[in-house]
Amino acid sequence: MDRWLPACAALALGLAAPALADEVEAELHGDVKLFSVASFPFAWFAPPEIPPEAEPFLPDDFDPQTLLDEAGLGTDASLTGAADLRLKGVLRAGRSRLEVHHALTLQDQGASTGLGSSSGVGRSAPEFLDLSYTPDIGASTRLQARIDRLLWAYGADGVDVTVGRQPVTFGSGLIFTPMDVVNPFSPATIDTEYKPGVDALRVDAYAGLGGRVTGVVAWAGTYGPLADDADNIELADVILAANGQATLGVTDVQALLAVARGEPVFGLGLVSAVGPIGVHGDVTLTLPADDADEEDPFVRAVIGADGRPTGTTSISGELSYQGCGAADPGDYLEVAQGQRFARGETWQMGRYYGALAVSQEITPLLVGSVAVIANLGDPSALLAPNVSWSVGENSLVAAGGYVGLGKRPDAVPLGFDPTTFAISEPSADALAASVNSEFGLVPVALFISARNYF
Amino acid sequence: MTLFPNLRRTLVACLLTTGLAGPAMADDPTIEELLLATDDAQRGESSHAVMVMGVKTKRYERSMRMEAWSLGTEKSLIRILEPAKDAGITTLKVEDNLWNYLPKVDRTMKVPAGMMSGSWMGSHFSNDDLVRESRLSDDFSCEFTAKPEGGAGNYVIACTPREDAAVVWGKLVATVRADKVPVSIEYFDEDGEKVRTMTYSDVQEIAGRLTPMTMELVPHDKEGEFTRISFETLEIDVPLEDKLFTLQALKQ
Repeated sequence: MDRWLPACAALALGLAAPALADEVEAELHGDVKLFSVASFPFAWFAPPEIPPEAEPFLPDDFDPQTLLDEAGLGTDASLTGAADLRLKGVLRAGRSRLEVHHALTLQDQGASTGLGSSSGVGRSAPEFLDLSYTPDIGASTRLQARIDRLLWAYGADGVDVTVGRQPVTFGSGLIFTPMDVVNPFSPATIDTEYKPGVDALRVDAYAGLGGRVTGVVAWAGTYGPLADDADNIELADVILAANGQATLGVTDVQALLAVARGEPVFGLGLVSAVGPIGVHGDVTLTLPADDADEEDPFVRAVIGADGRPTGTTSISGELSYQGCGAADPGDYLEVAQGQRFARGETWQMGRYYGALAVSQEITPLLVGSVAVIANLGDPSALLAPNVSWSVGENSLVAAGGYVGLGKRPDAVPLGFDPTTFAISEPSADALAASVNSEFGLVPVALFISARNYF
Repeated sequence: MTLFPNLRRTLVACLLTTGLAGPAMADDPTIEELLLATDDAQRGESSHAVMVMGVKTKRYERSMRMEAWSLGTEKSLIRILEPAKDAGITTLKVEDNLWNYLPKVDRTMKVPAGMMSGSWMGSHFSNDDLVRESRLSDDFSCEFTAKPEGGAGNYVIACTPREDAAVVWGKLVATVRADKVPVSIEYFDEDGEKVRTMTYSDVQEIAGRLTPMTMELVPHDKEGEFTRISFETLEIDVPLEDKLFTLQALKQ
């Protein structure tokens, strides 16, 4: 319970401050969401092949199905469900605002659904103050309670100060977001409506119409200072970012200077229009920390365009380069097991990407969309069709899927190198995936969801 | 109200180019006076309003409650209050720049001009209706086609595009009461077909001016459909500062 004390104190302070003002406005809203996701691993359609060159390294009496299951290459489909309740309270008094969101997520763990099929609900973020609670209610079901927003904001003339758990976003990329150095989204999740709150101090200073300088100190460590496993706070536990923006004519330009988990990041961004077409682009240079696996400095970039060829159709496309990705599919798993992937800094394993999204308003209440995210190096792609239906003023039903397209992985003996046909293990009694393409790893996932807002 | 600057400006532009309208009668207001009065009745130099927009189509009915501020014809800020699904989404328009702020993800999105042709919030208005500054002053010519007689009737003003003008409408017909309160604006396509009609009603005195508190847009190619905007509160010529129309206000 001790860990809740700071939060309670902050809440009390936040409540007391607005209460001193003459006029207080209170709002209480929320939403309920239900998700059901069916996932079919690629092996469900066709079991992975074992290359002939690898067979001599396998034991004579091996059971392929058992080994494939143990290697995570099984054929079982799965069905998972999730329910999410979010209560949102806001108090406004003068120039102060206190905002609290409590998110409660019940999720059926089911079998592993693999990449690309997460509902996205119940996402979390590093917590300076431990404001999450996950009671033990059984192995197959997970209940998570999280205070996802707990912020106090004050706006003075030309300056905003925001303290507490809040969403933070930088950059203009729609699918690829190199400038979003604080807890970026993965587009391969179904629900990206709320960006998880991070514990941060943020100051925005404004000048003129579109001039803005934003300074952020955000927590990015594993354990907060009050946690049982807390260690000394280091630079690697925080993200320091300064982002400047200016409007020149119809063009917004941005510059980012950040130290993210100890790594300097420099960025430039632009949003403008060429005739009826909107264009945007972000580029960042990251200087890896000394202990980051001897990485070289790398560039991440995105350029994109969007337009509306008809009143009911919108199209957007992006091209992206990720210098920290792997050029060879054989190295993808190394990227996936790396720190950048684990902490959500990136969700891509390769280097060259393209994306195209088309949205069509079938009726004002029924909108269909298709997005394709392609790894141009493999090549492979993630196809994401979606249909949403506004069934009421505050109700929405959606259905869609994620389909991985690309060369599927092979199953090889553990330690087998498919390039040299040599094996590092003296006697292989286990199989592992030999990746041939990024999105070839992604299962087929189908989902339905329902949402109600109040 | 500044929600529809180009409608107003279209009207004003028509009036300003109306040397063609011929000399007014001694007691008659000029076309310029009528349309400027129409413009002022909707907006003033600045305004602050809470309004409800109702949309009715064959398939559904939706409503949206908004708070809006305007300064001149080039600056406006609109925040959605209801429905809960969209509450907090805020739009800032300053000259040719348009931004949307999405609070759930802390994202400020610049809306390119090419994305403005779609329906605005599912209504019969387009984004372009909402934000585009009219550039029709060189494109239309206007003239009276009717005037009140014997204390009865309205002024009717017809505006037609010049030959080389690249405009959407083939003709506009504005009807204005003798006391300069707008009654309706009819929009015709290039074939002379009436496409849509905006009507003004529920006239109340706001800040010493007669002001229509309800506007209804009826598309004639969609029978039974309309978008109606009703002001719950409307303040005109309120003191607003430029700093209300900046990225800071967009986020608050």
